[in-house]
Amino acid sequence: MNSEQHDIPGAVERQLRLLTPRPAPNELRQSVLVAVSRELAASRRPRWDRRIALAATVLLVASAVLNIIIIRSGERRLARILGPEAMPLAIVRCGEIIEGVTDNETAQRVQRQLLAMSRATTAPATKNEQLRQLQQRLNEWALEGGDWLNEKTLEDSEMDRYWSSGRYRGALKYRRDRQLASERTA
Amino acid sequence: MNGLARRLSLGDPAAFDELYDACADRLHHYLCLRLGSREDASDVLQETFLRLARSRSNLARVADPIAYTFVVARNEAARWLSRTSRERSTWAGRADLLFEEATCDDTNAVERADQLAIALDRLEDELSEVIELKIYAGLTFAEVAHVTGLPPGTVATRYRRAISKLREIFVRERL
Repeated sequence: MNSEQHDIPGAVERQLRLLTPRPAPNELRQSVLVAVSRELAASRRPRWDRRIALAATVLLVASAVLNIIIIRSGERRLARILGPEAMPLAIVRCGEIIEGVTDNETAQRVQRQLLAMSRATTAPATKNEQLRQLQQRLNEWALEGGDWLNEKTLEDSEMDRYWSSGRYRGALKYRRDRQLASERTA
Repeated sequence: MNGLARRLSLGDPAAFDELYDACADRLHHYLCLRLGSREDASDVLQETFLRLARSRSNLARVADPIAYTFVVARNEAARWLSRTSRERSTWAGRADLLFEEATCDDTNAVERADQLAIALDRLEDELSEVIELKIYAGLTFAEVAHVTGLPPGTVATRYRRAISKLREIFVRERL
């Protein structure tokens, strides 16, 4: 190749095009296409691992749905046997405490109010939220004129301590002890 | 060509035969230049077709299956080089691996092939790749841009720079 030739525009490209690229080896065609056919055939066969994974997923979802159905039907059955609806434990406890410091009728009223309030909220109330609502309700009653809470707490400072610190179990125990003591003296 | 892409996406073995016949030689030469070995180029070519077969559903959305095959081959070559952790070997003195003329009886043709192999070896990889895809793979600038992931303007600039650099090499080295 003469270097002067390259000064002509397009000469280098012509020189490049003069050469013939070596083709792929003949035997490569067969091996590539056989491998491709094998790959295509393999992907058409059912994949057992995928099927098992799918079956496991379906079973998991079905078991979750069945679980929900069984829990709901159990709740309905219990409601039919035991009454209209099971009361949340927190409300039952509140009722017990209020019964301890007042009487059964007031406790049931408070329980009904709390139950109505807990149904009105969209999300289940936390313990703190329930306590806040209870306190608010009691304050409202106090403002309406029902001064039983103050009267009771003034009468019984020990119970008041339990009440204000949120130790309901302690309040119940204290109430039981007091009842036993009064029975003994009687 | 869209018909070919559709048949490929459906897993038609005849479509893969057709694709192989349409581009395997060009692809093999391109891979030779990228990898520096005909054996490695054969292995990567096979890997390329296997990858196309495995992910054939993607081919349904491909406008130009041949340019797409070059893209896959380019990625496979990069993966191969990183997996084997080696640089491509030099082409100087090994023109017989690239050009038919290097093994013929015509001494002028042999010399021309040797000189071009030396000149291509002196070019940066990005420039020799554009020359390879444009001249030997026969792709358009738009297709080269698709394969390399560059804007067509940049590809054209690189091509002109590669040609002028080859000219310089020929003159400077008195090839």
